[in-house]
Amino acid sequence: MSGILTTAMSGLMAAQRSLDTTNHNIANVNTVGYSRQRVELAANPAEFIGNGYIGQGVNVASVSRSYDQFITNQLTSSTSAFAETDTLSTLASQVDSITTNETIGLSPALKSFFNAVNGVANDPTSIPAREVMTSKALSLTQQFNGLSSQFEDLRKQTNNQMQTSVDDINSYAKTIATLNGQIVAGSSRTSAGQLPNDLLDQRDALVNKMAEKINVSTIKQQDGSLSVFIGQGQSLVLGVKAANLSLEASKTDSSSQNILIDGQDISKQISGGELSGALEFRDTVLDPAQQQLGLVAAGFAVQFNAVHTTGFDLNGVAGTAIFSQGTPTITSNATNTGSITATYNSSTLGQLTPSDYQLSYDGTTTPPSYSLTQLSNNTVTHPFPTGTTITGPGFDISVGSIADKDSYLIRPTFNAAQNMTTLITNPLEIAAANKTGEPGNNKNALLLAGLETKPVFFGGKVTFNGAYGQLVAKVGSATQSAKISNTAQEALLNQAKQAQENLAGVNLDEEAANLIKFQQSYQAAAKAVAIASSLFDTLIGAVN
Amino acid sequence: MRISTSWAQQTSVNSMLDQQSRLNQTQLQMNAQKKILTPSDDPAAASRIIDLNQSIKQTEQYQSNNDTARQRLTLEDTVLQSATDILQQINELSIQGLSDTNSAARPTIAAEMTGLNQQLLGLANTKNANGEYLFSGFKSTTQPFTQNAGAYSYVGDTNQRSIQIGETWQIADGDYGSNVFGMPTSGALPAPGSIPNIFEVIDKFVTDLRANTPNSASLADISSVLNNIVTVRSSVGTRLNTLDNQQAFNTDHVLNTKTALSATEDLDYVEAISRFNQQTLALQASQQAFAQVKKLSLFNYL
Repeated sequence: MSGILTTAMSGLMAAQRSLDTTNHNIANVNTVGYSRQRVELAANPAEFIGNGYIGQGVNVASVSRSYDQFITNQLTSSTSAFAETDTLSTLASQVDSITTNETIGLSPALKSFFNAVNGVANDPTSIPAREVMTSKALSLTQQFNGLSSQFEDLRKQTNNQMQTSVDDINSYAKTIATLNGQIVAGSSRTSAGQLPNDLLDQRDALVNKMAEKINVSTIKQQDGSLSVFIGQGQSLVLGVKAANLSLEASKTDSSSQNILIDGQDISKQISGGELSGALEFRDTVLDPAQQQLGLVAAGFAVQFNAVHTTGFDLNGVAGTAIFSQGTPTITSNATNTGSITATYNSSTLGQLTPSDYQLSYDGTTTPPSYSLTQLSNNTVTHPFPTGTTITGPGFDISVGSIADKDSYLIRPTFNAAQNMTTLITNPLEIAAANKTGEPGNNKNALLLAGLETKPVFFGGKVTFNGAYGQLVAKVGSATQSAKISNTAQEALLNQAKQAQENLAGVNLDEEAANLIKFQQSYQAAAKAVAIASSLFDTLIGAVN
Repeated sequence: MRISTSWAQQTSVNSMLDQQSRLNQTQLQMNAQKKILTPSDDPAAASRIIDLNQSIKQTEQYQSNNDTARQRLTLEDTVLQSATDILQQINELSIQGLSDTNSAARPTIAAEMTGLNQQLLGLANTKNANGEYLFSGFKSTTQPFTQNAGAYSYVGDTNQRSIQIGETWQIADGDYGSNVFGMPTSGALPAPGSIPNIFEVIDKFVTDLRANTPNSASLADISSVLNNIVTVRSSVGTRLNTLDNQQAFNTDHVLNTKTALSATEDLDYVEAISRFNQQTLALQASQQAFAQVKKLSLFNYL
């Protein structure tokens, strides 16, 4: 008799647990990363009563979550890939719109400067024409400086974004480590290895959030903890321990940040996520754009000065430099004992490239040798014999003293647009004439005006404006391909999300149907209890 | 297949966001009247646009240089026209002066010719609107011809200023004084018939006329300087003609380049408007579908 009540009660309990779980699912319909749960029911072992087995009702075997390791991994890697291209294309779009902006782009400023030069060539004695040229020279310089500082702002923004990503990754790693502890403790609480589903969901959601920042791979350990690795197998979370990511300014360029894990540089090893997108933006879009801009700035200033200084101004005095472009930036390795300097050379300007160079010195060979390596394609462009002056591509290097194993980073273009200034403000000092004492002589001004269409760069093939056009096209195609792969990655991410959601997401109609189903089971089980109770009453009544 | 409720909603929202973004792009294109808004829309075209714009602006600059040269040469032409008129007058006066029947009128003729010679000197020292002397070569701030105690000198130089009127084409915007009016002699004046400078020719004739000994060889001098000015003037005319041709060529070039630029960057309005309408319709459809699907829930029947 007591069997009837126990069996009915077990049904009542199973229906109640199922209803609880269904309600939990409904409550979490919009929770990100939530996996719908199911109560797994199992029939109790039957009792043998001599002539057969009598069922003993139902029990709740476990509460499981809909989960598929493969789909989850796919979602994680798609999230990383999407976040990377998204960051890259967002940042690249900013450079993209800066370069052709009517007010800040270089082309209009370059054009109006050369119009002013033509004005002087047409009217070499006219002070107003000369005034226009000096003021246009100033605004062209400001345009170079302005574009460069826009790039600099983007660099700061990129560094900030990297810092935020690193902070987020550290905080996620700590939380995952904490969750690992709780999950290991929770799993070991039950002998059957029942899992704390909601903690697992939370941990998976954190891994996915981390994947937005950086590509991660995970390995589930026997005890239920999750090990998280980044880059090429650098461990970020092991059990309850989380490593620390940090940023450190590059030794050769203080505005460029390297990524360190527990003090070890892994910038070259990481892939995926916002962090990698930001790095890729810096290395493949921003730096080349800044170098190309610097190429135009340095090339323009050097070439213009070279022609201007061959002329004579309205006072009959030999022309001086109109622009200053500074000198190539040199960074010395910390272990160097020697020192070098570098200056631009107008006669080798055609060889100047938008790249950084490395000068190294080997004192062990006889005779000792220098080598100059172009870093953009890692080719040794100038293996040199010994000497104190090296004629490089577009710049000359003067070696003060140098010791074995000394190495210098030379950046002829990187800071050139930023360093550019205008030196002449007095309109009389524009050297329009090619002879002294001839105020109406415009021969030098004609040469200066002709520089606009003169191919100067890349071995005399590309004009100033053409080199700027290359910058626009380079940035444009980098942005375009980033946008295209971003669209592709978005489609892949959405597929992965859909697969995940279809498996693990909550469908309210399904839960509504389940509610009815479990409600009916509950009602039926309750009826069974009522019948058991009335059976008791009947029996007790019979005894009375 | 089961579909998660929140994903079904997200899919509709994503779809609406997509439609909106496309619609917005079309709207931006229509506002800017350009099909390329940033270089990434079409990098090759963006770089071509820069080249085409440069070519247009460059040619417009040549046109403006052309105008400058035209202004100068037209002024020179006017000056030379006046000089020719005066010289023809002088020629007539000198023929009158040479005639023996006219000897009584010689002092009057001499006075008139002196006046005309001063006018010629004034013309030779003409300044342009900029205050530059037309005929002093590169020494354009120095008065080219000076007269001191009856002696003339040319202090300009023998340079002609060039103006860039095409990518590889420069044109002289004037002529230097000694070429137009002849170089004044230094030292003793040669005999009439071989005096090169216009002012000296006339001064010599006037002096001879006043002494009642006009030299008929002076007529050859006058006709020689007159011929010289006519030659220079015809060279100015040729240059003005060149400017016209170059201007017409440049105008054509700008027009062609602008047509190419327009084809590269301008929006095809018919296409854009029909695209805009399609996209508006698609967005409306998405919105309506979302509103309809949202109403469906089993909970409505519980």
